[in-house]
Amino acid sequence: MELLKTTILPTDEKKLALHIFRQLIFEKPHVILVVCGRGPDAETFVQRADRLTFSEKDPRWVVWARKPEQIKEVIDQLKDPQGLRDTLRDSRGFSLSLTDELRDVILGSEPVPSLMRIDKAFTKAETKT
Amino acid sequence: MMKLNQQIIAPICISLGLTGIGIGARVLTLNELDEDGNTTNLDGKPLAIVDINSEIKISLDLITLEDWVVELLGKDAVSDELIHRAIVLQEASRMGLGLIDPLTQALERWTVSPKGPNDVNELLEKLHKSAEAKLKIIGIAEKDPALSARLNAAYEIVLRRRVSRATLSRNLFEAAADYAGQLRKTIDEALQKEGAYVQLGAWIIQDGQDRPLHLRGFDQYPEGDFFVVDRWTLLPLNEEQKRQLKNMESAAREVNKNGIEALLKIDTVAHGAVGDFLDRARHCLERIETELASLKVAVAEEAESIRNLVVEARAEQLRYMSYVVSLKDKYAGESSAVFSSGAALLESTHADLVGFQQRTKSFISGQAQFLIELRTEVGTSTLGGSLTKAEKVIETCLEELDDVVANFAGDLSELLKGSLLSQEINTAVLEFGEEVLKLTLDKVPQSTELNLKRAGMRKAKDVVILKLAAGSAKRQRQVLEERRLDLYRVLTHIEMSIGMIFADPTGTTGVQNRFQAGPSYSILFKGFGNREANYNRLLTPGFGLNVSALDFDKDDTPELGIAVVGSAFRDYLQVGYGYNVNEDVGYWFFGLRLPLPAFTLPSDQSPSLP
Repeated sequence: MELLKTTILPTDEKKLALHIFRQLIFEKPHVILVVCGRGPDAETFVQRADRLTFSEKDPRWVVWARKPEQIKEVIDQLKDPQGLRDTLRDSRGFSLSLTDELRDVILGSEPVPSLMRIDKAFTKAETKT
Repeated sequence: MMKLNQQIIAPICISLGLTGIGIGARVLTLNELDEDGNTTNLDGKPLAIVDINSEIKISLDLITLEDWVVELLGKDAVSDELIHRAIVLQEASRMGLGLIDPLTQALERWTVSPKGPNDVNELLEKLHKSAEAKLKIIGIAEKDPALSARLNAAYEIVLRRRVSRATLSRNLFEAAADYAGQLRKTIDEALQKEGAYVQLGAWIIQDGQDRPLHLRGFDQYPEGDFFVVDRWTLLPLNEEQKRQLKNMESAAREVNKNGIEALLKIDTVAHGAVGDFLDRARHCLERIETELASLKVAVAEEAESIRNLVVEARAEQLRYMSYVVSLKDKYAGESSAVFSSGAALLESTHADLVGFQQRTKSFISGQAQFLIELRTEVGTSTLGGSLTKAEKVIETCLEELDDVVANFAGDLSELLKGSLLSQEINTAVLEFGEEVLKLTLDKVPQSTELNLKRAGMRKAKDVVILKLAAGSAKRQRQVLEERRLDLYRVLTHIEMSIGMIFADPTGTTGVQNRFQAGPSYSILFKGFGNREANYNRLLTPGFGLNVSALDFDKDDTPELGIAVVGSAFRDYLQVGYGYNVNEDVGYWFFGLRLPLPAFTLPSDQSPSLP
């Protein structure tokens, strides 16, 4: 699996995972798609999402949080003008804007996201509001 | 030719705005190509001023036109939902494709370090717009399996290789545009079956009358007469100008004899202006009076209701006659009233004219009603014969009165009201003639032109109206866009102005007062390419040469005065410095062009000047 613009958070060091995640969100100018969980579906999701981050110059980035519970305290600090936080539990992933706002959540009840669904999540994070 | 009801200023651009077409989206783009070879864009102005000899290049945005037509007429042919999808997809894909290059460039600049705030703002702006366009398309695809399949196919490129944002965006927006095109084709075919058509018409409006103009590809009107409003040729004085000059000479004598107040005497000035139509009105009324008097005798033995009708009509006629006579007396020299100012004179005269118009209209409608009621009451009785004769006379007189009000009084009133205002035009009465083609969408030309030189006789302040409309076999034609062009002599040109100057000699002369009045005319350079409305309507500055007839030595032989002159406010005011050639004396002067050229000032027989 070739992932060029994806950061895989460690599962065995919670502190490090939090640090990396915090840095990516609050310090790097990225439009981020966070993929949650592990297994074949998550792998497919990550691979597709990574391809939709385009070239190096593009602000899109993917974070793979195989243990999403490890980063809960950072997720709780995210801006959430649309009130999406409650739907994050058991979600497949979510997108964050350049201004660190929660913009879209791909629910656990949805099928494995297609390229169009992933692009929609990224794109929602690229709109003004 | 149609007489226009000049009451309503029509909307310049009509917006439907039902399913996403931008408010104010225009189909027509107008560019003026003037005689000096300059091109001026006429869009984005509420009222466009163009030179009277220009050619107007008209371009049509056929995509926007199609949007309008589909929005207006498509509902009869296909479902709202289909139209909505087609329009939104087309707009979004057009916007998305247009943003690909700017967004790519913004990304390039954004990756450079250090990033300035402008780089970030630019990227965000492009990113937001592109995202909005894409989300609209994805939103439709979620409900439309055919579009969804097309988009998924477009996405597959990223599975084969890593691509840039620009590459994927182009794939997606092109797929959406292609699908939108397919939807539009379906709609267009349905529209054709419905008999949908588009028309573009042009009219020139001159003195309240409209005349259609030819637009290549849009009508079968013949081209109009070729007529160029000459910019540089100085023509000999025509009869009207000679008459004006003579009037100015008489006025100058009056002023030199009695002072400037002479110009403000109502019995010398206004008599000539209003006396004529009051005379016409009075002659009409005298004929009506004769008929009503005969009718009164004829109905003496008829039912009371009939007698009452005639008595009432006659009473009203006498009241109106009395009003006209009193007005006539006012303007016939009975009064020696001197107004405190020219403005007061104009205000009073204007009020009288408006009053006369209203009173006359009311009289006409009252008399017309009287005739209808009388005819009903009389029925087929023996009175019928004499009534028919009276009806004819009264109806003819009423038509004459109507003509007086509509034309003479109307024009003069307009002049007094101030011709500085924009002409108000009810464009709703401009009707597409049979010669204007009904074009299906695929037959609409992308451009045409309106050569004003081919619009026959024209003069400043004429107005050209363009109307773009659409209709179908089922739906009445609706105007999609309307444009108005006011014609003025915008480019630099020569004009002649006749007026009166008040000369103040700088040397010793026989002139006893400070100023001596004299008739004059000025040859002025004007225009200078300015297209501002107030500049052309109100300010109209110019400069040039003034030639006047003076008599500084009071020998009753006119002396030639030649001066440089500056002019403004439609030549109502002129100022300059000149030289009396015969007397070898310089003079300052100011000049006036009397605002009422139709006035006939009484000639003063006294040859002596002060």
